[in-house]
Amino acid sequence: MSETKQVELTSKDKVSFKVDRDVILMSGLVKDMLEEGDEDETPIIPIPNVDSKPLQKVIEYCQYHHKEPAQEIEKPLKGKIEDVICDWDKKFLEIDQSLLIELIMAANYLNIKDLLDLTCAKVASMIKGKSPEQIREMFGIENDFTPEEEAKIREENKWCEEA
Amino acid sequence: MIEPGDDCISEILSFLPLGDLLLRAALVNKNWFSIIETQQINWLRHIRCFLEQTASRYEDLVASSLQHESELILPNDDFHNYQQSPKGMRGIYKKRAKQLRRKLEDDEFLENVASCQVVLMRIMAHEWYYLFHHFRISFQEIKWCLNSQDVKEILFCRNLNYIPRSDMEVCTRDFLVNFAKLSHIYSKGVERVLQSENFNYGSSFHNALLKTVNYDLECIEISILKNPTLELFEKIPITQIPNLEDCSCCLFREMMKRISLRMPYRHDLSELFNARFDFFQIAIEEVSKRSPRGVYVLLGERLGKCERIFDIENPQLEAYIVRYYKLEHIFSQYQEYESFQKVKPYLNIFLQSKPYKTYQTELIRQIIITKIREGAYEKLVAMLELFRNYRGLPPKFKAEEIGIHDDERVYYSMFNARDGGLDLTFLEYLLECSDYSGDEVWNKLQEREPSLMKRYYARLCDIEGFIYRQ
Repeated sequence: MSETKQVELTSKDKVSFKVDRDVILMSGLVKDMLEEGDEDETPIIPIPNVDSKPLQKVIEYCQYHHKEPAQEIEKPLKGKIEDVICDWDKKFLEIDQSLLIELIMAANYLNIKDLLDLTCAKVASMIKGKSPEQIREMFGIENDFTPEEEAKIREENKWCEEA
Repeated sequence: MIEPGDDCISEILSFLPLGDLLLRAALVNKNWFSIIETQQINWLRHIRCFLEQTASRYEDLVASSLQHESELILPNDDFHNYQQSPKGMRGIYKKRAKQLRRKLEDDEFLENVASCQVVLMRIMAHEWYYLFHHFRISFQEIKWCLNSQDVKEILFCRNLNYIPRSDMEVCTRDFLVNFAKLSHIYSKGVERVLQSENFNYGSSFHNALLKTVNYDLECIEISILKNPTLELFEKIPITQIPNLEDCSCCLFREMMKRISLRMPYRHDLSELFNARFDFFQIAIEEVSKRSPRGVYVLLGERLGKCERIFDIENPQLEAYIVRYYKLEHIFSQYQEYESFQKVKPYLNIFLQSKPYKTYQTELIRQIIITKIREGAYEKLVAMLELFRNYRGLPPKFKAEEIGIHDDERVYYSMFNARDGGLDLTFLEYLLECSDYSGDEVWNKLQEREPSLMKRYYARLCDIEGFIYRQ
């Protein structure tokens, strides 16, 4: 029985993860890098933008979904995200908010579309129905609109409210 | 908590429904607002979803309203459509709703239906505005959105009043041109816009509309050939469309066919016809098939400045010119003697045409009087000659009508003859046809031009009224 080819990923905080090549090929970034390298060796790929914690979650996601492709999430979300994703994904998303954001950035950096969609949809689901103030608080964002600017946007988009 | 980068925010926002996106997320901070504005956020998905929702809501509302209806009888044709096609059914819904609204104005439910429709239509109009203008989405990108007849119907049920005034120009241009390309209902779109209050916003909007038309002549062509509603041409001065001259004769013929009963009353086409004389012939031919009054208007009221009108070599056209072209225009147009010669054949026919004799006589009399007063001597003489040729004496007039007592221009006219001398034809006419006294003329002439009197004495003596002076 032939041995499965592996890839070694090194996180920003210098933690190494050995992953099956087939699994990590879900990442567009890794896939591109592997195409350039020597196939006989176990390549070491530095992931300098991603810490070990989110990287581990990424690997976890890929390990499950490289055999069970994720279903596309319809845009815009019509209800709660939990209604449109599988049980495994629901459990996978049971993480704190900061890790969720890190996961979004990791998925974006590693170019894993399904994971990016899943995590973004989760955040969108959290934002949905919240006021601008609540969204700001959620992300620690400062309001840089003047009252006049804010009023203008509200007025411009009023038509939407009337619907 | 870490704020994700712009590309991640954009991805997150792409999952938000329209209301959350524009009413909440857009207000988070300037960066979010900018992302929503510039990155389009899968806007098309929202639109599609939204259109589906509104279309079904619209149908539900109207269908519900029908349940309240009991007294109206469905016409046979409509009933047939109702059974045959969903589209026909929707048409009936709309029609029914309209009828019901009219009949049952006090019905609270129906009022609600009506106001819901208003809101929906307003959204639709605004949505297109956002698509084309605000988000700079190309028409090709949303082509699929417009395949539904529902969308068209809803879209054109309302005017564009809700669109901000400052953006009307761009919106209208993009909106109409793009929509026209797909739906072939250009003129209907323009018609709606024209009916909207925004049309009164002034010349900038009006100019935009013209540019829109100019932008794509093909749109007009499609519209004309496919859509019998040509309200567009009643409201837009088509002669101001810079490239109208480039359109084909075939297209112009079609235009004239469709609008021959209305267009001549509304447009001064002389400029266009001066540039495209073939259009003029087409216009006359097409209009004459439908409306003699139209020909009259086209020739008389609207073409006063069409310089080449008498170049037409077409018997039918000639007959129309003779019949309908106003004599005033013949004289008002041609200031030069040569030009007058050019019109003479027409004038001749005109003067001999029986139904207009009384009118002509008075008309010519008035023109002669005017010409005398204006001192338009050469034209006057030519006309007198012409008149004599077929009828003998020209119409009579009174001295005060030409202002002979208080205005000496009449005397100048007499001395402006072609050979520089006294024009006896005119003098003779003056004495024959007016109540002006020979004594007065004699005294005046002697006072002003004694040498000329000597020179012409013998000939003057031949003129009746001067004989006793010998």
